[in-house]
Amino acid sequence: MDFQPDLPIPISYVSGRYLLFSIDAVTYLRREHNICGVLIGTLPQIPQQNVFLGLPLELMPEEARLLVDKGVACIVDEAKAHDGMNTLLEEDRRRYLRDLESQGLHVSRIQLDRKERNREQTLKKLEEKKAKAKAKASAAAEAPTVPEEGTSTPSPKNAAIVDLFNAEERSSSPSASMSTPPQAATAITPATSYPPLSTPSPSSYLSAPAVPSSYPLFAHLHSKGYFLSPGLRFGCQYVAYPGDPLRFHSHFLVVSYDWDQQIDLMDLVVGGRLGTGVKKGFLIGGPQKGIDSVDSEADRVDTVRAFSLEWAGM
Amino acid sequence: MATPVTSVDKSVADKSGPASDARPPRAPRPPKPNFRQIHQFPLPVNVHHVPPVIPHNPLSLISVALSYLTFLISPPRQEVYSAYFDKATSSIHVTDERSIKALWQMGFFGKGSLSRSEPSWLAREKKRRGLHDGKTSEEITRLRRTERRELKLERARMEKLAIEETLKAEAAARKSGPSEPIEQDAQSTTTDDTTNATATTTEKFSLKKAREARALEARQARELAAKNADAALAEQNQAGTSSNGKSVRFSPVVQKKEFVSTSPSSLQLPDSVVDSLDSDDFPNEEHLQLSNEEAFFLAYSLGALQIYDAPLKSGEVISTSPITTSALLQQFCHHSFQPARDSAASLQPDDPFMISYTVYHHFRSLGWVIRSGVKFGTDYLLYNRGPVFSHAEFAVAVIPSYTHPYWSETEERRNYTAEKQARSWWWMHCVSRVQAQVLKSLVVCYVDVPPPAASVDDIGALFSQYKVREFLIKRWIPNRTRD
Amino acid sequence: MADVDEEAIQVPANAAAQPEVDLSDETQDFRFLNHLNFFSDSSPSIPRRGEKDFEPNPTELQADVLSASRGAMHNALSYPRLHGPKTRVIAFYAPDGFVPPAQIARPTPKAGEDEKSSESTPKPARPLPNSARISPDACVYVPNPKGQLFKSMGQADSSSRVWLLPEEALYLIERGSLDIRWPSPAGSTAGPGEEDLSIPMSLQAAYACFMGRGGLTLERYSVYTGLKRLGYALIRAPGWCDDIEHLEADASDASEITSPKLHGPGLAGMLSSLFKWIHDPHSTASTATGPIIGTGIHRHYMDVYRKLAIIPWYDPATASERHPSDTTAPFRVVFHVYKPSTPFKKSAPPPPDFRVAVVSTRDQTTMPTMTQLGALLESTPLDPPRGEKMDRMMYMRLRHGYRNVVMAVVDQGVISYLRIADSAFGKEKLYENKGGPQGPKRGRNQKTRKR
Repeated sequence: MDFQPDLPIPISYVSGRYLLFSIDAVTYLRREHNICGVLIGTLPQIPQQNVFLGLPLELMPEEARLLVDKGVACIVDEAKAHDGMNTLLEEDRRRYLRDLESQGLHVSRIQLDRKERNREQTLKKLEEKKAKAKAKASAAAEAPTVPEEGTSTPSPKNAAIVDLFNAEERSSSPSASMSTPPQAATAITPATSYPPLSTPSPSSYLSAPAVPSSYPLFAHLHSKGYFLSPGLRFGCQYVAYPGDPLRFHSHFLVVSYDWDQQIDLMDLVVGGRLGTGVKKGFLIGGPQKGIDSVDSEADRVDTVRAFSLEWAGM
Repeated sequence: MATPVTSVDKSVADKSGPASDARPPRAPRPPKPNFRQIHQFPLPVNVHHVPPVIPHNPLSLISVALSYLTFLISPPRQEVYSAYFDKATSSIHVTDERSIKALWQMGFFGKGSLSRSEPSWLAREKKRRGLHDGKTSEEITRLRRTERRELKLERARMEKLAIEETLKAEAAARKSGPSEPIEQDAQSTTTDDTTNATATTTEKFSLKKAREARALEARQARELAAKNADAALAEQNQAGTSSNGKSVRFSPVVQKKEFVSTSPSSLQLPDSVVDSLDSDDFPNEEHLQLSNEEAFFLAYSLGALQIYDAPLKSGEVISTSPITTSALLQQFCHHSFQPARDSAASLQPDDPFMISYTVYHHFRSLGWVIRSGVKFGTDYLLYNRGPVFSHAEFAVAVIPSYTHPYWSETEERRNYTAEKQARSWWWMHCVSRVQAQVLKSLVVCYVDVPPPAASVDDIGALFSQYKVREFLIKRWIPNRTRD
Repeated sequence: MADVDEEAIQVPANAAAQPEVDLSDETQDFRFLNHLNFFSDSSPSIPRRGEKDFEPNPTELQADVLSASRGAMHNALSYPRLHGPKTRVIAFYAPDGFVPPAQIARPTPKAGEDEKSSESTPKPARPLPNSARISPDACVYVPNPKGQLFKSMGQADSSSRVWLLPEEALYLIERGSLDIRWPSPAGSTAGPGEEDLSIPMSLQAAYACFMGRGGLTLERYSVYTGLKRLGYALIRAPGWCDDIEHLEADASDASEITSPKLHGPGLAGMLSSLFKWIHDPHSTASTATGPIIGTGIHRHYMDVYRKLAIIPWYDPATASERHPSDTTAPFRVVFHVYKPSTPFKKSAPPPPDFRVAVVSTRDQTTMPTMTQLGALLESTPLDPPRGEKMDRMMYMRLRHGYRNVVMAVVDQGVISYLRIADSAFGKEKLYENKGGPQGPKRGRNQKTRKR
């Protein structure tokens, strides 16, 4: 879990957005750099809900820029990189397919083992579940069609299969013995394309992402240890958390202004009212210097000032 | 005047939910005033019903003729109220008691300069001096806030204590056995069954819990706090240096001030007489403050208000004549800028006052009682019949629009209008969220601005060039609309 | 009192039943994922909020809980997309888009199933599926479609292969329901008995290949998959393509134009009647300098209010419907959305339950202007407030409006949906209700609204 990926981490630039597909990169950036992004993908184990989402992780341009400026990440044009699929050597192709197959066999074996072990309990539970599921499925027009009945409900039992898969993918040298192929291999859709593609070369990196004028305030709060998320749904630009949003409620609703910008008083009234109504501070701020009067974005970040507003009633 | 206050009281008691059970039972309140009687007239305009004419009945003709005759002999006079324009605050002041009452009761115009809504300063002041029973809504709100603040402090203290306990336990565990219990704890959080248990132990202290705890062991807690004060302080310092010291808790100085200021309000004498007190004891220092839109509506549309340039001394004979409506329009337009625009400047069709008045008049003319929405961050609130009858259901945010070809003729105009129309997404969501918090529907009201008019003499013709379009914007939650 | 409004803010603060709480609003602790059991009673399984800490403190307990949460998240996100031998559905990526079956049969990499299905192509029992329905944007085909998911997705060609649009293919691969293969390398066409060298597409590859294809943006995809996950069915609306002007107008309008065109005088007629009030010869009123209502004797407040009506307003009921090409991107309907409970047939989709426009906050930083919003709403059919309840409740009528659209505002992966309705306050003469019962109810109603 404390895996350290090779730096710089490639951020996929897809159709104008910044995405991460590697769970190790996601975990690492969250742990070491307070970058959490937004998960936008469907979790294959529970695909029929929006409360818990999975890979890929979408990064704001601000986040991507911050990581690139820190030297932690680089930007890769993913569509271009995948042109490499056409020129893959047959040798590499075969090797990759063999690896996948042995992984698939391994998975099949684990599933079979677990099935054997849990047959009795599973059968019992399944009966009950099916009765309920039927009622449920008729309610939802589209019943979930997760392939494996046993794993459709996630539980710690699945931890083994997950861990094993991780380990194998990482080492990419399957030690699984080929002695007793028990059944057809389970097919796998990998999360990333590396392998079979080789790591993109530094010459192909794209330039650092363009960022909105709110970037200095973003970078300032981030440098103070805050975790920042897109805030539109909460009525602001960023939501600032004192720690990992997994475990902490946010403290501030953040809106950036230019230093000389006229602020409509009503904007402050409504922002302050919103923040206080949800027990958060309404924070406004911005850099005191324009981009013309300093050498780099980083210098602007140092000149940021922020103010917190509280609605005090009447 | 004091009567509406009781209704506020009632709603506070109803709404406050769990908080109310902790409060001492209140004395029975005088019955709710008859708002339908008090506010029976929707506008400060006299209406005289003429008996209906029934062709077959000659008597009805006589009755109609009679009533016309009466009007002829002694024509009913439309009451005209007086007010003056205060440049400093860019608003209209009404100081005459009778006018204040009339404008408030018939159509809910204006607000008390020392009150949140209805001018109630005099009643509050009497109560404060022990002449009245009951509490005004302002006092109730203050009390409630004080109580809530105390509870929050209590909760914060309990949280801190719990953290200290944990730290102590962890330190002790580290000493006694090499990290065994902690590891166990960490493991347990990952397993299925104990997650709930962990969740409850780490669950935050609710206000209710804090209140219960306080009621049960108020004294114990205080002793404990005193005893722990030194230790806590020391630990706090330690923690302060080790953590990066972030906090959004609000300054204790402010809180202390509040406590002090509220204490005298509890000194009250019972007095059931509400309305019969004379106000000779001290002068009423409050006046009614009309917004410029309200004043213009009363003056231009209803002819029920005359506005002067400067305050009139009581008893003084009116020497100057009131401002004409067209001059008033000019003045209001100039004062819709901050700071006020030079009075020589010509009227622009998108002067903020033109736009805000268009919306004001539109909703007034449909029968809504329309009042400022500043407390919810919108331009207006719409009340059905009036604020004493029900909450405002709609909050109105006004945005100008420039669809006329004139506005896109030149690059300069295009840039100008683009900037004027621009509203950020976060603002929109912010406003929408606040309205959701207070259970109001958000109406985004666009006002289509005409090109500059050749003449501004005909005010009616001017405003008939504008056009209003309302959009209702509401958050859509797909989880709720699945079937 | 106006103060009363302020109390309303307390209601959500301490009441458990806050109407706006949406679990997906906030980052949820992944340790509770195991409690999300969608097959048993749903009530106890959703984790409650308020189980997070206020701020970091130096306790080890807090550090441990955080690391456990992150561990749970790591595990949940590492869960692989597996395809058991029995349930596996294979698809092929066709970078060049839809190709009629005759041509594509040759380079098909996987021979087995595909040949079988093409052999059985002449099925006289049913009319052949209309290949014309297959979008030129389709780029993945499923030779042997099975499972419920295809009921609302894809279009079959004449050899029963189902062609998927980029968003459909991406959604299916992401949820682990489809094993998409890269086309086999050119020249190495595998014979029936030979080794299959088609490589499975990774999730990353699917995003790289499908995103940006045929007008699919990440924002549109996020809305698509977000609603699909909740069981909605979605199809592309005519406004999907930027160059809708060139599209056939008849097909798009056919379903929408069914709404009855409103009789009535139209805007001009309404205005003229307004002016008739204004120039009422019997009144001493002067709109030039006021007072509008005149200084004479008023018989009734109704008369006073009628005279006051000098501000023109937009009447959505009489506005004519506009073609989607009159709208400005991104303020145009791109999805037709069907509730899970709506019987949906992909070959003949019914009128949609919701029309959704998708906006990215980073590309379009400001709210729409009235022109843009107006055009968006006028591109939807008239949907006036109807029914017994609506007739009675004025507030409901106003909230429902005459046309409506859902705007999905996407801010870097976070979607915020807004329902926007054309509500005509001008059609509700509140003053006619003076003295009547309080609240939204209205007894008598002589308006044309009542149909």
